[in-house]
Amino acid sequence: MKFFRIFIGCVIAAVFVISCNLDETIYSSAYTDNFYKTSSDAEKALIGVYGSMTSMYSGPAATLVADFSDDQTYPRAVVGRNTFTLFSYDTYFTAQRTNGRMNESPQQIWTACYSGIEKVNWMLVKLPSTVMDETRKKQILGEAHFMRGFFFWMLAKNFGDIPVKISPSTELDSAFSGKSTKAEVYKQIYSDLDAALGSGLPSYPNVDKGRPSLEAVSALYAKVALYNEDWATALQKAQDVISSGKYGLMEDVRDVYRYDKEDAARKENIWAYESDPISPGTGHQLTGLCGPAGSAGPEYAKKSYGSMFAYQSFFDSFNPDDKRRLLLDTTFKNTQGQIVHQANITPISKKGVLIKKYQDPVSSIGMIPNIPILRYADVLLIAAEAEAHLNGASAKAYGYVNMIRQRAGLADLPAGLNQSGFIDAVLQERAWEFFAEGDRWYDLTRTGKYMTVIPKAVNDVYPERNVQAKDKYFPIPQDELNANPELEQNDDWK
Amino acid sequence: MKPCFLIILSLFLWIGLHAQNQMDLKGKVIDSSNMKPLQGVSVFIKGTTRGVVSDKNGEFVLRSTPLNKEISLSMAGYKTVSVLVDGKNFLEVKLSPSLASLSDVVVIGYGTQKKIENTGAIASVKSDELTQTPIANIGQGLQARVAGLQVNQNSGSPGGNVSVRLRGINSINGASEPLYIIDGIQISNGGGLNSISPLSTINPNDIASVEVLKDASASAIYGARAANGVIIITTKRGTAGQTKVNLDSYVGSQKTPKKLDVLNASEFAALENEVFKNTYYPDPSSEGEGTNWQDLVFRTAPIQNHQLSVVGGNDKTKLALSFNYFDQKGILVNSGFKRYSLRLNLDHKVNDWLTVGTSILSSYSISNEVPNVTTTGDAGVVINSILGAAIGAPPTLSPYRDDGSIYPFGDQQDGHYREVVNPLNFTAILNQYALKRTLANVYGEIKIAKGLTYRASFNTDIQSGLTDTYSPRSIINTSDLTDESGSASKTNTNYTFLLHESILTYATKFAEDHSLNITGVFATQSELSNSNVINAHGFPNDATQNEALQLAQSQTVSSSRSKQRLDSYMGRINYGYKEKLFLNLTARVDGSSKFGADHKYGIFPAVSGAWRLIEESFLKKSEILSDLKLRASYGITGNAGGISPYQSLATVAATGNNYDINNQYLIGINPTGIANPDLRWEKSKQTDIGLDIGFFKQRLTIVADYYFKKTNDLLYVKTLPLSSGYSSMTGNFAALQNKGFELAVNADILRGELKWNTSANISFNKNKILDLDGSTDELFVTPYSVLKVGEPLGIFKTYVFDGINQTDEAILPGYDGRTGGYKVKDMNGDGIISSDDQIITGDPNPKFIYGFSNNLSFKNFDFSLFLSGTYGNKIYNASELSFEMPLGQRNMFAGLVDRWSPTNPSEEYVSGFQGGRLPITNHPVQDGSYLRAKNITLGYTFHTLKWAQQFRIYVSANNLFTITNYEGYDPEVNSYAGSNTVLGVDNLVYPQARSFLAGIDITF
Repeated sequence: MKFFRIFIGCVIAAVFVISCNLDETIYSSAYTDNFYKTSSDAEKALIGVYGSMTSMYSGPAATLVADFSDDQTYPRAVVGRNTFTLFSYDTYFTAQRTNGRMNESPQQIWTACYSGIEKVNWMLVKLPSTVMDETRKKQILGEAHFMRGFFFWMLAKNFGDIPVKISPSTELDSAFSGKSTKAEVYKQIYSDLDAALGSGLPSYPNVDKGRPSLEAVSALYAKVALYNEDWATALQKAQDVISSGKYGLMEDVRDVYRYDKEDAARKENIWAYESDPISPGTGHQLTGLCGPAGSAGPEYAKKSYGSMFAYQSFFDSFNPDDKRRLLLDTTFKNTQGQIVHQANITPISKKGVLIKKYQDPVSSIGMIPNIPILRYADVLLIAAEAEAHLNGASAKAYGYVNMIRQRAGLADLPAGLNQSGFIDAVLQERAWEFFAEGDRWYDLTRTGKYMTVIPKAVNDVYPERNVQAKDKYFPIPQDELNANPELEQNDDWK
Repeated sequence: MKPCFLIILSLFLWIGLHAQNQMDLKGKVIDSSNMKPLQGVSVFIKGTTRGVVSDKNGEFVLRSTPLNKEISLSMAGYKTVSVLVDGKNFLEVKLSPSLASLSDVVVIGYGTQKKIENTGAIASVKSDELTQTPIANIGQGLQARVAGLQVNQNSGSPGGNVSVRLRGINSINGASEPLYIIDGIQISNGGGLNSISPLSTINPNDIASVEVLKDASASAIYGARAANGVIIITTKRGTAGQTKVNLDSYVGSQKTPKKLDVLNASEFAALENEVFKNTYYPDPSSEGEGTNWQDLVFRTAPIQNHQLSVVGGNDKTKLALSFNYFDQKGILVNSGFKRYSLRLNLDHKVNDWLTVGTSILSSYSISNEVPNVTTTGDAGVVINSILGAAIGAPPTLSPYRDDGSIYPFGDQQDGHYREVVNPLNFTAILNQYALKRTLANVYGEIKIAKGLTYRASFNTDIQSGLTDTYSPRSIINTSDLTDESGSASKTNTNYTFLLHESILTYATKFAEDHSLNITGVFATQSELSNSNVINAHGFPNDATQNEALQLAQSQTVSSSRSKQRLDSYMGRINYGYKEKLFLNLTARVDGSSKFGADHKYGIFPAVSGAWRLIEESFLKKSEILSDLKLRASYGITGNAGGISPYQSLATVAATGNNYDINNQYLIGINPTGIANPDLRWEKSKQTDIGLDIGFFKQRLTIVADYYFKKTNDLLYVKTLPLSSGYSSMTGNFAALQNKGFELAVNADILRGELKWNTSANISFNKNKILDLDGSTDELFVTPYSVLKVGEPLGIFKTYVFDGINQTDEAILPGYDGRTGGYKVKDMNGDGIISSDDQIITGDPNPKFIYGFSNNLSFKNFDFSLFLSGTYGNKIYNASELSFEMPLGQRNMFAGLVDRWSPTNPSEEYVSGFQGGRLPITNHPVQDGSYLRAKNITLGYTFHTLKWAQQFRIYVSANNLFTITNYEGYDPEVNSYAGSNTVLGVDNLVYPQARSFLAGIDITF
């Protein structure tokens, strides 16, 4: 009997010994405390930040939100997709939510930007103690600051006053932050971009495709300042880019968008959302949306849906000599090589106008066309607008605009315009230059012109467009408001 | 080793020494009620392990029986009798039938107990009830058998999952499935919809009994995982006596009980012209009936089950083994479930003090799935589910090309309908999941001293799964075919579960009337999971399917591994006074690796008592009452099911935040969430008061229970401000309560030549959310389901449908109202439709659920009828959102013939239109109450065959009819299967089949 008890005692004791430690062994991820230690950790963390662009540009919410709101382009209405100024979108973005089109909605911009900002916040806290080459570390931090500035600016132009969150969410309490005023938001963006400018980023062409060059920081700075109506800074930063001499305009405006000239066009495309014909790789829907339905136009894409068109009135606004109008079309060549006339482009309208900025006739895996974010043409027009605000329609201002007009094959802007006339002409030039690049809508909202322009931008598909004052900004997503007691809805949307 | 050998040697010596004063004892056993010989009675010499079993004539011979010993005679269903041999060489013994329900033994955690001693709420289900209906898993067999247990078939897909809820839903974002213990091994049943139920890998025919531990006192012994109740499954073990070989086989045929009415081709064509305001169909009426897509995706499907088992043994070794083959084809083309399983249960008595044994259950299950469910609305359901595609497919298109191959819609009518898909595409897609699983344990049990026993067991659950998918090029529209077409994947999953348990029990009696039973357990377990996934795209052709991924244009791989640990210490004291008063104290300490640093351990105590009033003198002589017992219990149990490993810690991972730099796709790493060192168990406090009553010598028995459960520290996925960088964080924020009443009645109405037994159960449960996260009052989890403090889980909140906006009727602003579209009520009368006008429009929780079973037998015939149902639950028929909203390009329900037009002022169906969307209203809210004939069986048994002990043939009909007002396929649905928060939503779920079976059951 004694033997059993000893035996049992041994068994129980043995089992107790093997089983006291309840700490977790981790295999397929790492504890945050063990990350951000090496240079490759730092590079991977930075890629994670760029990764937040992917969720904003795959829809791409970053351009569709603006382009489905403006007076240039419109969607073929399907469930969850419509023109925003007509759209019965509510603060919950229900239509997109229930139809799997969240990635085309303003909420996607909100989510993606703050996800990117959080990643930058962690890097800024953790990287100073990373052991690695200090020069590269400084650049990495610079790229991170640039990205945070970009994200805050995307938020500010879409939602108005927003939370400025610049420390990581390490515990529940730090997950909540209230609204900042526009001035505070722009102050933060300036500070991020100043940090990026001082981080030793390389100049074009010695910059990796996809990363910002030193000049890209200035270009973004100029545009941010323009939206902040800080004309002097806008002009200064734009001139920094121009005087660097690193960038210029493509001779033929169509080459900016040609699938086989992408690398050559980096001379003008200062910074873009990168898309490549690789799988896995990053991509977007614009090629498919802009091509004719049923993949009918082989010049547009291998696979396209006929979901996005330009208004006929926008097409008609071009001078027929304007080369930029060649980036729109009223006919296309079908798979049999026959010309399909305008009346048959789309079943929704006899006046379908096709957009040719995102054509990719060759790729079946992934797609080539990048989505431009900052172009040299933009820098010139920012300079023109800022100069006009500061010094009126000066020769310098005319000079900037006319570079754009000359490239488009147009005569110079008529001399003698007054300040506001000149600024309007610059805005009009921007309209022709940047359509379908997610830009026009913000020109309209920052200048207040949306209230008058949008009701006139109608066609047989959208015969009436009743824009309201509250449309200046999108509502802050209800998801955010529900979860964040420190935040209030924009006044117009209450 | 040496002492062991010595002990065995000495045993032989002992036997040798005692081989005197013995003789052969003969005897006969008869049933005292009818004086017929009893076969199969165990006859043992008391104090030894020697024994025999009576034969057909009730006779037995016990060789070398000591002259002055007692022998004991026992058999299930009879009172055990002891007789002193006293030199006699022939004994005639009468056994009298016991009052079955009082002498029953029930399985409790880590042991068994006489039913009269039990203080908790435990319900038992016998094996023949479990397998009465043709089932793939035990969960299905439990449906409507146990009061308080709600079993929902998530999908009629063969092998498909069930969700089981005991006494209501006890969690919000945690797990709600009970803990299953199969021969001591824990099985958790995940709630997925399309996956094979983990329970489906267990052959139901191998089960001897199922015990459902409902209250805290019964389940607290399983501590941290017991809050959702515990279901203990015991498989059939060997018995001493004549070896029995049994063959049980059935074959049958299944069909869908229902198809939904949709527009035919000419009606569809007319609608299309109206929606698009054109004449795409120049003459709609000439289109005729067109293709009936539901007829093409539904089929008549066979089902078969064959079980061969052997049970036998002697006084030293007992064994039970079985082989089973189950094959159920689905009523949707290309779906099916097949299982091969075998089992060996072996018990061997090494000597007086040591017993060893093993249970091995091994199975290989193959499930072929057809995408049949999606939670996305509108167009999503048409693209993602075969039933959605079959309803939405234009009847004007053709299913097949002339050569018999599937005709992609993009290739028909110039690609006009390329945005919907041919439903037959889903039948060409490979989606197979094969799981090999072995559940095994070995145990040794040592009698250390009188009343003191130690049992050690080592248990494993080893699973190896392989998911194969292939989506062929052949179903892709020709215009869309690229080098990237054709996609395949292989997913390997491995799961290893190891468990050791040490159980020490001590049973004693003192001062005559007092009994004491003490149990102590130590258990330690670990779970290791890993998975490897390969995805590949772009195949040159369909020849190799997914079996040569190296041919693909591109491949991606991923893998993961995780581990968790649980250590437990448990103690239980059962005290009994006479057969009158019983007291039970239980406590368990569990420590889990998954929890926050400060909360690794939790303590779960319970106390319960029972008073058998029937033993009191004033009732003892009662002619009417045969049993009366009052039970009460209180305890705290835990739930850790919703937490995955590493969730309490701050981690970084590659979560798809990648980017192209220099034309290369680089993988990013980023933080994944906010650490929560506070993460801990959900704690459920439950009070139970129960009453067991028996009448007329237990001919009528009633079990009634009232319970009140409050669960605190509920896991809740707290929505975070998106500006934090994350969308949510899991923490112990919420609280809810369940209270209810259960009643189970069993009656032997007729006991003569015509026997009639009936049993019924009914359960009422009320569920209420007490708190979400302290600040949130309400959270929409779907566009129509909401979590709201003070309300039950899963309620529907929508606008109120108010007919159709008629011509010239003023349309309220604030929503996408239009003439011919839905009109909604302005509930607050402010003249604007806003979210304030949404109100609670339905509760998916039933007021009560019930089961009703009747078994009749007359001479050799037997007949049974089993009904089940729910009452008072609402269903959100989400398919209406897709198929009563004529946006064009997809077919609609037949009601749309009567759609609104200026000349047909319908108040029910909207006119055809394009763009925009209709408000979410209560129009799809329907009554989900139903009464279903689950099973009707008629059997005939031959008793007098020479070549078989027993031979029964039977036919049965399952789901023969369902009485319901619900308009969808099946009222027993949930597209969000297994969800605690979204209930009663039907987005076209795989309906359960109606089946007819014929079977034989032979025992040799």
